[in-house]
Amino acid sequence: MMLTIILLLIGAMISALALRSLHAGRLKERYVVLFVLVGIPFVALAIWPDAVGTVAAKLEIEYPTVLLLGVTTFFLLVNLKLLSIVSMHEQRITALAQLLAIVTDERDDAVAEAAASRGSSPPSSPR
Amino acid sequence: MTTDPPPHRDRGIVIIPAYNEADSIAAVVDELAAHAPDLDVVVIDDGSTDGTAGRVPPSAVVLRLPFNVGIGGAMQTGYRYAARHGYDLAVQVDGDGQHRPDQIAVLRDRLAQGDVDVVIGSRFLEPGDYTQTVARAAGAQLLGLLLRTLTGQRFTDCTSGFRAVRGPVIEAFAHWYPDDYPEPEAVLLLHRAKFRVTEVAVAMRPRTAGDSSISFRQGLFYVIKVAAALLVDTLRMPWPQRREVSP
Repeated sequence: MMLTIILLLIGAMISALALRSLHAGRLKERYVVLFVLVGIPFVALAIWPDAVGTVAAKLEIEYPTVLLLGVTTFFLLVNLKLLSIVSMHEQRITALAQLLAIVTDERDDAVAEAAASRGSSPPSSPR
Repeated sequence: MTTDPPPHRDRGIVIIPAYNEADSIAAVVDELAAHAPDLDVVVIDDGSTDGTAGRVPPSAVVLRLPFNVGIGGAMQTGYRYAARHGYDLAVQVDGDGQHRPDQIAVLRDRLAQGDVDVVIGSRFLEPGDYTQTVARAAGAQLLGLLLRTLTGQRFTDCTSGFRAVRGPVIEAFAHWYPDDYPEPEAVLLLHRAKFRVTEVAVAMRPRTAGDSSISFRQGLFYVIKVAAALLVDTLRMPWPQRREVSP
């Protein structure tokens, strides 16, 4: 009973943290789903506290090994998701930087042409 | 007989990625103006902190990246610029003075034969006076062997960044360019995308200034990382969809 209460409290705490971050604008809605997924194992263990022991018995593997495998796999999957998000944003940031460099050059060209047509000198900058 | 237009009449551009190359960039651009006057030159200042952009002669266009994006991202900036301005030919030249502008004609002549899309300038295709350490030579041999296994084609200098490419490759590189170890990865991806790649023998100089992006101590680790990147590249689409940001 105590274990169930502790697990439920941890799950509720994670959910509250996610909702607070969402409310404060520090976490986008789509990532709240990730936190809900993080909370699922806690809820599952709260409902079925002996789940790990049952799996260990079925697979004939030591209890700590099953626990370690389960936790490791879960957090690796979460990590993979986060890294894929980071990779996507890195690509976008690089593309933005590239376009900024190109568009800035085109703007400088336009400014120089406009200045030339007015017969004045454009601000000096390396071409 | 090919129907492709002679590349010497193509609109060509030299792409020079530069990161902290203030000591050498002016000489490289001036030498290009002397040896390849028909080619435009674009220098991509990859977030340099030594005033590289300010040393570029006015004959070249300078694109300033707001921060360092790495050699792959810088090179792709040049290809994006080339694609945007409709160039038919692009030549990659390092900003450290290692690549000799007088050798660009060798790359262009090979490209002009019309049977290839990319020409790589190789230091080791023919015996020459370019020297490197035993460790570097061994590393290059290992990477060459791996590329040969993956592509079925022999490359003697897969890390050479001295290259000339045709218009379709410019478009492809503008869309996607490898950013971890771009030179050997690009060779593999080009092969997988059915572009025709070949090497020609060129002469190169030792670096005239600055530090090599790959130090001696990093050599072995570099080979392992490149080999891993090449193996990973075999698993993904040759030209994956890029999450594009359009102006």
